[in-house]
Parts: sequence; structure tokens; C-alpha cells
Amino acid sequence: MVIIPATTGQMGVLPGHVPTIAELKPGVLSVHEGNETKKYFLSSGFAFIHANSVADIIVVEAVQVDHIDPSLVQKGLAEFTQKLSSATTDLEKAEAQIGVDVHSALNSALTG
Amino acid sequence: MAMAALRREGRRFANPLLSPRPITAVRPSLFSEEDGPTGFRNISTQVVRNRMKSVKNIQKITKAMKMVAASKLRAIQVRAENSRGLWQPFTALLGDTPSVDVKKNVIVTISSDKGLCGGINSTSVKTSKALHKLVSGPDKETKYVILGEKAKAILIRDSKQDIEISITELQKNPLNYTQVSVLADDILKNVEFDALRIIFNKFQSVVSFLPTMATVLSPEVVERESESGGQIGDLDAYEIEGGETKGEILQNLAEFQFSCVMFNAVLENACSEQGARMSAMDSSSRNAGEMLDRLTLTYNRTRQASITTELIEIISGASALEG
Amino acid sequence: MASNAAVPFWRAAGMTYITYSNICANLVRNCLKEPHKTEAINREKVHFSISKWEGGKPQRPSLFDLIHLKHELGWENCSLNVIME
Repeated sequence: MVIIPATTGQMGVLPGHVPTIAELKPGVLSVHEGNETKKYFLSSGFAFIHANSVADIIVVEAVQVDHIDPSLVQKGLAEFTQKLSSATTDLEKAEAQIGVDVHSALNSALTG
Repeated sequence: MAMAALRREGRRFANPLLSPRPITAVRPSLFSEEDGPTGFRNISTQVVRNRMKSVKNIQKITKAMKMVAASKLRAIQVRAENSRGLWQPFTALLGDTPSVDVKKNVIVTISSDKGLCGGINSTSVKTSKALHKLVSGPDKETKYVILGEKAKAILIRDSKQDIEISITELQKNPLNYTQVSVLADDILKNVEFDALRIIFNKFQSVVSFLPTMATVLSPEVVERESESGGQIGDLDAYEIEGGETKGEILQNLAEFQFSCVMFNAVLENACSEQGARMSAMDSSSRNAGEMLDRLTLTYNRTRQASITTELIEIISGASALEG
Repeated sequence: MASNAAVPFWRAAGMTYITYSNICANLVRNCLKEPHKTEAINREKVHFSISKWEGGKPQRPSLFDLIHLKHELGWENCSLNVIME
């Protein structure tokens, strides 16, 4: 089973899932194989679940959760929260918003 | 080019030397020992020796270039093969739809910046031109987006009115996804299209490359085709998660698809480039080797001929004294 | 553009999906431990030159590199050693 971070929420995928196209948000992908669970942090991308029980997940950057540095995450989160409040243009706001989104996702990946 | 010129010159030098009557044999025997016969002989062998030296140097260069290409190929081949995993899911989902008929076509021709790599650049240009002919027609618009100096140099001759964007200096650093996606983004922002047709050389093995076309449709065309049950009718079977509307997802999907397909195409082409360069340099080294063999033969023959002549002179001189 | 219904905030601000996903990836790469971080950051060196053509003539080419990108995308947290190649 895999659990993928769709924009609509966490989505568990088992063999025989309905064919789906899901847009992914920054979050954790967990792959359960028997009793083993592997966790990866995905930046963003797409997942296609095909009718023949094959799921394709395409992402720009996927890293193992234990490669993430918690102190850098905290620093980034604080930095972008501050930037969001001081942003003036739409573009700046959007960039800061992405920053906050990604870092909170990273944060919850580490704590959760 | 340089090789061909040298080879022609090589023959020009070699022919008189290979003629049945060697120059040394017809030299006037009246000359004194210092400036006559020996000087003459030395000059003729000197020319061949110089030629041999330069051929040897060229062979060294082509051998080195072959080695460089081989090591670059090894590095890039793994990445090209891995990157195939990026477009395969898209093809599984949307299918490969080269025959969808649309108004605005954009042909993305991928070539290399540097030469000496066989025919891969002319292949992709030829394929692009054939495609251009195929998809253009009344009230249709077809434009070129060119990657690499070499395709630009060829297409500028007869299709420069149709060139929309040209991109070069892509391979200064090792290719990476970020770079290609920024480039893809730039193409998307600057051209209007219904279908993007990417032409590149797909790497099969070191000696075989397939000119390949990958098609990326605009979200509108994807929606139209899937609704009318056209060539991508299967898409309706999929549920769409996330996003407010189907159009939005398709827009994101099309953009992401383009950058992924471009990434693979650029890598495949770079891989083919190195492979082609490797085999081109291999045959150059072999040619240089053959030429060197011929020159060595000439050199030895000339040398032997002059020695024989000298011996004959000495012997006949001695026998004249005896008699 | 597709339908005019609600679009994600980043598209409303003029970004494309590619830009959005690159920014996300950049932020994730910046939060990695060493040595994974250096290795990942090496994968985002951008360098190419692009020229638009009008009426069969190329316009002045613009060079894309990280400095340019930082300006355009606001990637403030690209580390300096990446820019100075």
C-alpha cells in the first residue's frame, strides 16, 4: 500500500483502486511493504493510478525523511512566515505562501 | 573535413614517391657527396617523416576525443535511461498522439552545440523539415523552436521566417531537471501552441539512434479529444483528485508533461551525441592508422631504394677499380 | 488558459506549474542535511542562452543563469557558492 499526499488530503492506494489522476502537494509518501514502511518527502508532482493496479508517481524532488535537517526547517518556516506578513505584491505573497506551505509540510513530516 | 583535406594532400605527396622509378634512382650521379645525392634523399624522406608525424598527432587527438566522449557517454547514459521513467507514465495516461490534427504546431528541434558527431544533427533537422511539410497547410501555423547551434545553422538557410526561439549553451553544466524545466517554462510562455512536437535522437546503442517525435498537446486539445472520444478517450475513465476543475488539472499536467518530456529528450539527444562522436572519432583514428601504415611503407621503400642505389654505386666503383 | 474558475494562488500570481514545482523543490533541497544538500543543490545549476526571433532575425539573446533566475523567481535562498561557478 502507498499513502500519497494529494492536494485534497492523504490518499491510501491499494491494488484495484479506481483509476485516478491526483495532483500532489508537498508532503510525505509512505510505501508499506509487508511490515516495512519507507517514507519519502515529495516536493510536488502528480500521481496516476491506472486501472491495472499500477500507480505512477512523478515528482520533482523526493528525499528520505531522515535526510531533512530539522533546524533548517524551523529557520525556513520562521523566515517565510515573516515574509508573508511583509509581502506587498501578489507574486511576493505567493512565493512566501509556497515557502510557508512547504516548510510546514516538512515540519509535520518530521514531527508526525 | 580536416581529415579529408589531409588525406588528399597525403596522396599528392605519396604518389611520386610510390612511382616505379624512385626519384633517388634518377638523380644525376655527377653531384658531389655533400650537397647532391644525400641531400636529395634526406629531403624526400623528410617530407614523408613530417607527414607521418602530423598524422600521428591527429590520431592522438581523435583518440583522446573518443576517450572523452566515451566517459561522458557513460555518465549520461545512466541518466538518460533513468529519465525514461519520467515520460512513460504520461504516455500510459495520455497515450502517444502524433497524428492529432491541430492548427498551431510548434516543432521543437533538439540538436547539439558542437560538431564532429556524425549525422545526428542533420537527422533531427531532416525529420523536423519533413514534419513541417506534413503539418502545415492553409490556415495553419507551424513554428520552430531550436535547441543547439547546429540545427540553427542549418534551419537558418531556408526556414528562418518560421523560427520562433533558439536556445544554445545548454550543456555548459551537466544537464539537470531544473535547467530543462526553466527552459521548458520559457518556451511555454513565449509561444502559442495547440501541439508541441519535440524532435530528438533517441539513444538505442552506441551505434544506433532513432529520430523520435514526442507530442505534447495543449490542455484545450486534450480536453476536446477526450470528450469527443477521440484519440485519448481513455482519459475519461480516470477520476480527478485535487484542483477545482478538470481544466486546471489538465493545465498543470500539460505543463509538467512538457518539462518531463523535454528533460528526457534533451538527455537522450546528448547521449546520442556522445555516442555518435565516439564512433566518428573511432573511425577517424582508424583512418589515421591506415594512412600511417601507408606512409610508413612509402618511407621505408624510399629509404631502402636510396641505400640500394648507394650500394650499387660502391660495388660498381670497386669492380671498376679491380677490372 | 483553461477555464476561468478558481485557480490556485500561485497561478493567480502569474506563476506556471513548472515555476511552482521548481520553487517547492528548491525549498526542499535547501532543508536537507549535508552531504545530500550539496549534491541536490548541484542539480539546480541553470545556464543557457535564449533568443527570440522576429521576421527571420534573432533578437538579442538573453543569458539565463542563477543570478537571473533569482531575480525573476525570487529564489533568495539559493546559496552563494552556487552562483559563483
